[in-house]
Amino acid sequence: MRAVDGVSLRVARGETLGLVGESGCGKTTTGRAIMGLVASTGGSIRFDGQEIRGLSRNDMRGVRRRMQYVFQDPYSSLNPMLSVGDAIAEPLRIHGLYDEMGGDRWIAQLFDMVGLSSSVAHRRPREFSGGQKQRIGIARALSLKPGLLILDEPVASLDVSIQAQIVNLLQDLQRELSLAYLFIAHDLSVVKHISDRVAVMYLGRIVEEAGKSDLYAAPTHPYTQALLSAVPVVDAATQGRGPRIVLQGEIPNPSAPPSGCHFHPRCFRATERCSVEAPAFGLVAGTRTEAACHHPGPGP
Amino acid sequence: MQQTADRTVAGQSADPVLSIRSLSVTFVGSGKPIPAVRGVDLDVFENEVLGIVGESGSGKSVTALAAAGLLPGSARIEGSIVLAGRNVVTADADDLRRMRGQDIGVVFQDPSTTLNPLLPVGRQIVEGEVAHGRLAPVAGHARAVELLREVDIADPENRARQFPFQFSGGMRQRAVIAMAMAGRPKVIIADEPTTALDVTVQAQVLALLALRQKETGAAVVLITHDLGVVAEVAHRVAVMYGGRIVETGAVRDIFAHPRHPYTAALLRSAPRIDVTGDRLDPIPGQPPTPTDMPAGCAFHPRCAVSAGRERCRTEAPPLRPVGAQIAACHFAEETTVASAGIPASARTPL
Repeated sequence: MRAVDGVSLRVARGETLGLVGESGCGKTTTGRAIMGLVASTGGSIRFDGQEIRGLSRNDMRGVRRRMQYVFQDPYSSLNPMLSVGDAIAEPLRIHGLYDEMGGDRWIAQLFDMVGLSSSVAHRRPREFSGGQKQRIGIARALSLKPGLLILDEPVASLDVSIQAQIVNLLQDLQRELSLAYLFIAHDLSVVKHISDRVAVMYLGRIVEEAGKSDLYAAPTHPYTQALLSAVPVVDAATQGRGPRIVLQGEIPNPSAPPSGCHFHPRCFRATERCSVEAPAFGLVAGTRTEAACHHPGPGP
Repeated sequence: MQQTADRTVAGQSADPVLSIRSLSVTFVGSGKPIPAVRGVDLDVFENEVLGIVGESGSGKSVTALAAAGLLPGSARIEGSIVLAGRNVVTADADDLRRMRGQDIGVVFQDPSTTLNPLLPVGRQIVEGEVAHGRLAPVAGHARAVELLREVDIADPENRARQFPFQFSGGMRQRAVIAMAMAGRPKVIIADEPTTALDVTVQAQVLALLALRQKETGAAVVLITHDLGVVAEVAHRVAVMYGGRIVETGAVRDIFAHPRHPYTAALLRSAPRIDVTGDRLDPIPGQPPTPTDMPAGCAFHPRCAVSAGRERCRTEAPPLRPVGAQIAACHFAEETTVASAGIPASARTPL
């Protein structure tokens, strides 16, 4: 099964690239392939100018120090038997850098950076709430001073009032540490808030990528348009909402994607050509947006 | 999806089809008793969608499950729940069985655990009607086809014979909605019905739920954590916090002028796709857990309006009329969307 097909992405230092899409679109697989957690079968992944696809295990370990993954579920990503202080120190110990990076003082500093008191370092994960566990997961990811964080649905399992705390924390940390973020999420509101640029995936391919304001204000790909119009908005209560694009059918099985443009069976602009020819990804005329569509343009 | 202008607060003069008074639910087991719901009054009228919003541990699901008589034996229930003239709390197992399907139907979050994987979908969705003797087994298939057609499932003849694994997630939830509505119940409890679905499929399922509600005149109690979903499909909303309703009224009034500081802060904390802002306003701290409920108003430790006032720490505020809605806050008159804003700091130490 080809879960990710010809995806190209760039993330610069200090920048957040949002990667959005529905289930089965390949956004998580993309994130894991970058980390080398799933093997990619082709293409190139360059990190700090160095090709990292096909590196030996040993060399990859060195690269992984500088890119870290934050998982969705802070409940299952922390070892329940380990104190949270030890969990944060674990990456340092694995890489043999505990003393070199500053030892206990650095650990205390990490607790402080994520808004926790280091006096709780001896406690086990079960004594913490979901939001606190996610802070611990972020501190652990920061322990090796990485340049890139791959954040895979980092707030999806948290309550609304806690999501905002974590989003603000991530923005503060990015500013202070010049971190690059690849922010993988299905929630278009959160992605809009945190991203500089946004890429939309559908069935293994990027269908549109643009600066945040262009993508949300003037989407050109019919899938992006449908996705944005499907989000329930709070203002509907007071102002009503405009007409909604309700897509027909559901996302096809990724192991047998439709021919041509994968989106054509659900697309309101599809023509004959769309069912035979996969559209190339490129700049849409008259815009700063890149998209893969034979008929890009304003909504229906 | 309906436009706001079409929506009116329905049926207020008629008798409620579901009426909950002084409901408390405490789970008792080997450890400390867990008071999950602490005094809820709620009326639901026919022909309306009532949204119940709240965060985890607010008691929203327990309240709804109590109404359907679906709480486990470890739940100690006080107060009354009158559904279509009968008290659910004192009803015996036979009464409850009769009420389910006929008076009340339930749609749960995850359709793949609601459906039996070993039975054809068609047979399951009419199982209730057959068991209640309202439908002859030989007529089952034809009725299942009709029900699947009503929820817009293409090729219902063949789909009725298929198994749940042959359905997509959205189709499964449509089938569950068909099943919940099969006996034309007066009340449908929908507990996070679209949370497990993708956003484009969520839009389809919510539109279907609203349409079927309109066609049947049923009351729908929609439980969700998503304020956008409530804004789009509910007529009235009840906001729950710490096992109590803290604010209730017409969706339009509450979203335009929240009177409880928690509602206002919740509306401000959510990132919005229709608004571009620099920084989110989180609510500091965590939602309380039932075993560790603050004294007085449960929200006071996180409340910007309270600002540590004595009364909030000692006295639980009752629900009272404020503006067009009712709210449980000693200082509801001081709440505005802006005043509920919390000094922007994500770094709340333990």
